[in-house]
Amino acid sequence: MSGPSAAQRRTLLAAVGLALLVVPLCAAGWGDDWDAIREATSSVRTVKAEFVQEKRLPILSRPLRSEGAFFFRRPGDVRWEYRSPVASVLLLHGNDVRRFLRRDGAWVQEAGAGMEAMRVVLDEIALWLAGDFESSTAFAPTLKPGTPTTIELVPREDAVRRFVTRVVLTLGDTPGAIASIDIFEGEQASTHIEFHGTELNGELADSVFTTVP
Amino acid sequence: MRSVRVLWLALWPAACGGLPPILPVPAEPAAEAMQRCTAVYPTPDFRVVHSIAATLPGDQGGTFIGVTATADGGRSLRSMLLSLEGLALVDATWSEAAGVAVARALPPLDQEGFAQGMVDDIRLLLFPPPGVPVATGRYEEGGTVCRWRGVDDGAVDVVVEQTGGWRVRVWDAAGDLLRDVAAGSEFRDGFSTKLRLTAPGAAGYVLELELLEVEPGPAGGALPAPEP
Repeated sequence: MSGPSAAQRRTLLAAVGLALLVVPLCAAGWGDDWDAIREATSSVRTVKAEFVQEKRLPILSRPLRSEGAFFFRRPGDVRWEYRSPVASVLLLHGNDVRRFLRRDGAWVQEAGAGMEAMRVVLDEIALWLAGDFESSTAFAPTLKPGTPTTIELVPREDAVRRFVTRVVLTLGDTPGAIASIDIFEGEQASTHIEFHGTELNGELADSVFTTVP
Repeated sequence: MRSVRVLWLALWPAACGGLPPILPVPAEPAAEAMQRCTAVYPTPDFRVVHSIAATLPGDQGGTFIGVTATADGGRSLRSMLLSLEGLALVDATWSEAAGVAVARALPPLDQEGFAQGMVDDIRLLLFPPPGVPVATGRYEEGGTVCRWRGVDDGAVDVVVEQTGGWRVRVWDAAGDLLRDVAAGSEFRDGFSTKLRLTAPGAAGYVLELELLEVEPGPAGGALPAPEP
């Protein structure tokens, strides 16, 4: 079989990463058109949200459940934290991308090529933070106003689409928040991320994006 | 047949210098020893989820989620390797009849031989060696040992230690160690809660597995086929 190229793989990782990073971009009642989305997202400075992630796989009878928290601060600081089942923290601060894992009671920084790939996420953040889905070279967006409003993102390249077929963002009721994200990997596997307790424009210290836990 | 096995056992240390000798335990029949050796493995069919911390040469590595489901009493399996964020990186199937087939592999895990190696390691960790041991007994330092004939005249030892932990060691025909699995004494739902696999050598690696979830095997004994 032939897999995606390194660039396409980075796009895949970006798809998953950016699906979370898009949290601050959405606000309820504003999703009728792209201009309204850009307008609504322009006032969001910080985001803090809890999430529950359910991974559905064809070989599991029940979803694999993860829980964690997400933090964002403009222009590009991110803390992406899983508390269970595997405690890990991904920190994006300036040009610094680091992942830490909890092992035997201590936080250990993880090395590896995956960190390099995560930098690609940063390159794409600017577009998404601006609510500018239409300019993305990686995904073709479709806005579906309704109750709820959704944004469907389909990879533009076939090689990428073989692995991530689409990403669906469901807008929440709270302005500046998103209710859920669904990432589909073909017909058999998908990831559902449900956000709750979202707080917008609160103070988030530097330490949130530089230290663990 | 039994005399052939005993002869083979007696000659083995000379042929494979790296293998520790197995001392006979007259009071313990081979069947009892084998039962003790295979009791450390879970009973198929099952679905199991592990966290997998991989340490690779060059200070590289990563942590993943591994999901494995078996069918047909362990004669087939499907295993998926996920990123911590949940993206499916590798999806591979194995059966006695068809061997390994790769349905999905994202770079750099799409390298030739990766899925085969992944399945080989999974089988080493979750299933006893096929067939019956060619020798049973104990090491000098104690513990029950069952030795199977390995691939290409190598050997596989399953050792149940007096502490309750267990080990698996795989040698090639020259007696060089190929794999070393160490498991603690804690079990949950029939699975060791912690496993550590070491592949020695310049291209070696270490996998540390921690048990996350266990489910019964799929009803009807069939695994869902990967998407075409």
